[in-house]
Parts: sequence; C-alpha cells; structure tokens
Amino acid sequence: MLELKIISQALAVGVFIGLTYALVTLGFSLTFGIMRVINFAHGAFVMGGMYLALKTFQDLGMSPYFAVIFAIPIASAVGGAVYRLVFVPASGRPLETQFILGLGLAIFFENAALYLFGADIVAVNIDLSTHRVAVADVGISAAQLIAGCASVFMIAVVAFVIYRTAFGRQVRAVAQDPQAAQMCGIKVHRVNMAAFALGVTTAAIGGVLLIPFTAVSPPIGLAFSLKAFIVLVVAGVGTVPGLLVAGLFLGITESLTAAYLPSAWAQVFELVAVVLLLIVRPQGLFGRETW
Amino acid sequence: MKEENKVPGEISRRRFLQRSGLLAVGLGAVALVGCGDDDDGEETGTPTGTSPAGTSTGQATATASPRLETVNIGLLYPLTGVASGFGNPIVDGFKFAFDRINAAGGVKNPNGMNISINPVLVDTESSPDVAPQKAEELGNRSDILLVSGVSQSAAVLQVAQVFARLNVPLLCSVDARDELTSSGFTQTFRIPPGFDTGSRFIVRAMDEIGTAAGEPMTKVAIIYHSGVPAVGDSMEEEATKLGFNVAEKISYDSQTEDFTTMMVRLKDTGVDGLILNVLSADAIKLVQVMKQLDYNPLGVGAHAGGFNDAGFVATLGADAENMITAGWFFTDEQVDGADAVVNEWKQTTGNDIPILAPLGISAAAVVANALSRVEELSREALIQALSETDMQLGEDDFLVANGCKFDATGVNTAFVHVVGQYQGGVGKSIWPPDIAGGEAVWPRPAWS
Repeated sequence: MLELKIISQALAVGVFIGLTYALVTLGFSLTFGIMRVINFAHGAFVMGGMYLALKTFQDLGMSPYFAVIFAIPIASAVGGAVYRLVFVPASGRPLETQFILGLGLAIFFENAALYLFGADIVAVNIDLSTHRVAVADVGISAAQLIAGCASVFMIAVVAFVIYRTAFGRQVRAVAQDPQAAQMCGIKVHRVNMAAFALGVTTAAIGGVLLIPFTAVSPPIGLAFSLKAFIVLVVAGVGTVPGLLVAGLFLGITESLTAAYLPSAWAQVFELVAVVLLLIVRPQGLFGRETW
Repeated sequence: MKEENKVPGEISRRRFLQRSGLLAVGLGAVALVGCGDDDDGEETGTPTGTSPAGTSTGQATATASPRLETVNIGLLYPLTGVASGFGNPIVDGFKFAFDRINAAGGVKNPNGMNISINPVLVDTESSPDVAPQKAEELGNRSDILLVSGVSQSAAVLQVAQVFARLNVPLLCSVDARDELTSSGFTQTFRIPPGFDTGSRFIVRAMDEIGTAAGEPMTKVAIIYHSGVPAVGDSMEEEATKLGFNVAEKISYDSQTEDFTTMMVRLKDTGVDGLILNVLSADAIKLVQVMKQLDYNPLGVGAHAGGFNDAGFVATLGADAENMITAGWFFTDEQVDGADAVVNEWKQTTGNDIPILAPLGISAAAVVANALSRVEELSREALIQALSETDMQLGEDDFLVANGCKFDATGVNTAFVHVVGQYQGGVGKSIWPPDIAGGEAVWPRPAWS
C-alpha cells in the first residue's frame, strides 16, 4: 500500500515538473529546428526569469508570478539583441562554431549573474510553495500545479502561433529551406530573430514559474540547458507532443529515482536513454527534420 | 674614494669604522645594564658568550624597549565566485581581529617584540585550479609567515600539499574534509574538525535535548548530500551508538528537484527525528515540503550546511522557526568576552556579526597567541608554537567552543559544536548546556 502511494506520489511530482521541462525546452527546440544552433545559453534565460521573479518578490513586494509582466518585454528584447549581435554575424559558420558561441554566451551570462546577484543560492517561500493540493493521499504543492498547468497553456499558445498563424508559416518555411523562403520574400533574419525571441521568452516565463519551488544561483542556467538538451534529443526536433512526452520522461525519471535511489542515478538513467536513442533512433522519439 | 665618485648608498671605510664602533659600544652598554638589573642572580653569573641565544635575548630585552615587527599572514580564501559566501565573512573576521590586535599595540612577545599583523588577502576565485596556484605564489613569498585558508573542500588537499612542500604553516579556520589533517601534513592545523567528526555533535545534541525534555526521538532518518558520504556514515554510527533506530540513511545530490516522495515515505513510516547535512537550496526545499505534508517530527536538526546559511531564515521566515542547527558561534553564548566582540563588530560595521566571522576571529586569536610565544619570527618557530597552543574558550577572543589544543595531527581536540535553534527568527544557542544561552523548544510545535 505504501509502495503504491510512494509511486503515485513520485509520478504526480514527476508529471508536473516534467511539464515545466517541456516548456523550458520549447525555445531550445525552436532555435535548433529553425536556426540549427544548439544554444547552450538557453538555460541562462531560465535563470534570468528566476532572478526577475525573485527581485519582483523581494524588492517590489509583489507575487513572483507578476514577473511575467516584466519577463515578456525584457526577454524578447534581450533575445532579439542576442540574436542580432551574436548569431547573425555567426550565421553560415560551421555548427561547432555556433555551439561554442552558445557555450561562451552561457558562461558570459553566468558571470554576469554572479556579478549582479552574487554567488548565493537563493529562493522564495510563498504560501503556494507549501500549500498542498491533494487527491486522496497523493498531492503536490500549489506552485507545482500552477507551473505545470501554465506550461501546458504556454506550449499550446506557441504551438498555435507556429502552426496556425501567418508568422508561424514563415517560421516553418525558414526552418525547411531558408533560401527558398528568402526567394519568396520572407525576411529570414527577421523571422529568425522573432522566433529566437519567442524561444527566449518562453524560457524566461519557465523560470518565473519555477522559482516558487526551485532555488536559483548563477550556475543553474547551464544545468537547465543540459536538461533541455536531453529533452530535445529524446523528443526530436519540431514536435510539440514529443516535447511533452520527453519532458514527462525526464521529470518522472528524476522523481522516481529520488524515491528509491541516490538522485545522482537519475542523470545516469537519462543519459543512458539519450545514448540509446541516438544509436537506435537518432531523430528522437517523435522527431522530424524541422518544425 | 672621493665623495662625488661614491655609488649611492655606499659608505666610506672611515664611516663604517665609526658606526661599527658606536654599535659595539652600544651593545656592550645594553649587555652591562642587563646584567646589572638582574636581581635573582640565576642568570647573571652566566657568561653572555656561553648562554643560549634565547636567554641572552631575554636579558637584553628586559630593559630595552620592545622592537616593532610586522608579520604578513596570508589569507587564502574564496573572495569571489560560488564559495565567496564562506570566504568573505571569515576574512572579515580576521581583519576585524587583526585591527583590534594592532590597535592595542600588536602582539606582545616576551622576546622583545611587539608584533603587528598585516593580512595579505589572496582570492582563490572559488576555483580548485586557481587555489593551488595562489598557494604556490604565497608559499614562495619569504615574507609570508603563515597562511590561513581555504574553506573550499575541492581545493584544500592540493593547497595543503603545496604548503607542506614549502613548509608553510597552514591554519584552517573551517573545512569539511577530514583528510586535511589525517594525511600527514605536519604543519597543518585546523580549529573545527572535518565534517565526518563534527557531524556527530548534532546527533548527540538532539539525543540529549530530547531526553532532557522527556520526549526523546526513537526512529530517525539521516539525509545527507552525496558530496560528503562519510558524514552519513558518521551520523549513522553515532545514532546507532546512542540507541536510535536509524530507519533510513538517504544520500541525495544537487540534481534533486523535489523531496516530496522522500518525505511522504519518512512520514508514513513514523520517523520522528530528522538529522541532516544538506546544502542551502535543499534545506529550504526540505522545510517547504515538510510543511506542505504537515510532517511534524519531534526534532529537525542539521549539521552545518544549509541550516546555517543566512538565506535559510531570510527565505523561510517563520517556517524556519524551531529548526536546529549545529554551528560554530551564536551571539547569546555564555562566553567571556563574546559580548564585547559582538558589540564592537556592530559598532564598527553597522551590521550584526555574520555566523562565520567568529571562525576568522578565533583563527586570528590562535595566530596571535602563537606569535606571543615564538622565539623568532620564522615559519619553523610558528609551527612549533602552534603545536603547543592551549587556549581556553573566551581567551584572547577565541570564540569557538570549547577552546583550542591541537593534537599531533593538527586537529583541535577541545572543539565542541554549539547547537542552536531558530527562535523568533534568530539563532539561539541551546547546547551544550554550559555554554548555551537559551532553552530548546522540544518537541517542535506542529505546523498547523
């Protein structure tokens, strides 16, 4: 009986954390699918969203969720600027150059955060962090519930934009064949910049949603980039259902492992899964060529 | 040699002879006065030429005013980067203590010296690669008499190796690694022991506090970070020795996103005491989950780590209330001289003394105490003096319980962790009873 309860509990936590991983990976997947750049600085925007929420709570005395209002314009602007200043000059360069560029950016953002916010690991504690939402004996914190539900909503919004709007058609056209898209009159760099900014904004919103139950410090950005990379490899490029499934895989693996084994094993299982997938199905579980 | 042809700084033979003569007359006069003033007669009969150097110096300084000396003490700590939260308050403690010592005229040494202490700050940048390089640079500076550091477990053994090779005394104000003093570095000294040893105190304290309150824990769980595996073993060993049923010993790592499942299991299996060694972020998460589950063990206590972090109370607020933590100093402790230090810190800096600063102040006290006993200002003499340290709690601002006396390996055998409890948002000392300034709240009141 206790075992069933523990497994159910682990699944509940894993599902809702996994959904936030899917949201965090969405922008990472967009950037890779459209620009063919593995942007290891992506996690830095999650970190940025977390610090923004922290400061909103600490300095403005408002709920950390209000930070979404600031996160959307700030992340869009920073994302656009990063794309214009860093990735446009590097476009057309070999993949490894862009990979190193992303890694360099990640280190830059980590050190900038260290300078701005210090090295301390910080967190917030609001009522929603400790308020339990339970069905029978199985429950999660209200903050985790909000993060999971908001992630699903955000993913749905982005999927709608990509698959049901004129802008989304341009994004998919650029992703499939940038030269052909350009010949059709699509301003490729402008579309890329907008898609990059959209991805960065989803990452920052993910950070805002995470802060009520996850502590933040400057190195957390790279940790989230690694998680996003694992989700992307498992899911494959250009698939929203794939992102959801892979995010849940990551969340549930972590949660179940933590219930029975030292949690370091979670990463072992995840990376073994990644290696196996790369051998057996390199395009990922649901992967296509592009978005 | 004509005056205009002389190399700057060079003196003529005539002037050299004049100065040598004056110096000889002066020294002779001092020696004669010294002999004449010695009333006990024990040393007056000893011809100066055959007396041991120390005795001779002592006679000479009995009347001559002490000469002023300045020594450089290296402080090799993480001042930037992820570990700077540890390094900066400790270094601030050193600087505060050295300023007090220097303002009082320096360390009084009976061998005719008043020694002023100059801290030389070196930043390890929280990097295990940088720390040994900086240690090498410091150790090769002949003007550095001793180094204190590094409060950075990943680097401390490499740093200790460097200083052992260069025969530089290393005084460790706090570090988790027990191997620092169990690896044969004979010139290394540490004030609190490593975490393997230190973590036993929280188990003992919670046992005694629960027993004294008439509601002892019976079934405990030990949760510890995977980076300090021996801490879990030490805690389990101590708990078993004290007769507890150790229901679970759980190792977790920094990748752990959520503790809910773990806590559900502990609550449902009736664990009534949690003994922890967790990092700052995890300490906050654990308490949040306990509250979420309305899990109410009799006591929750942690050795060092996250529960000691200033951010723990700042973040959790009232949810941190009654959590127990083994630390190094609490401002309400019954220690001679502690109030004066705490008040002066407040006056000087405008802030309350940080929880780690007394480690720097106490290490500075050990340095000063050793300097007051050296016969000469050399590394060898300082190593010898450190090995003979025997300081009581409160002596010369030594604030870490229960005094300082190093064994042959350099471990402070007098050390006792002071255990505190957050009451009214402030850490109050509750154990050991002879030092504690307050009473424990036991059992912990339920969340509801």
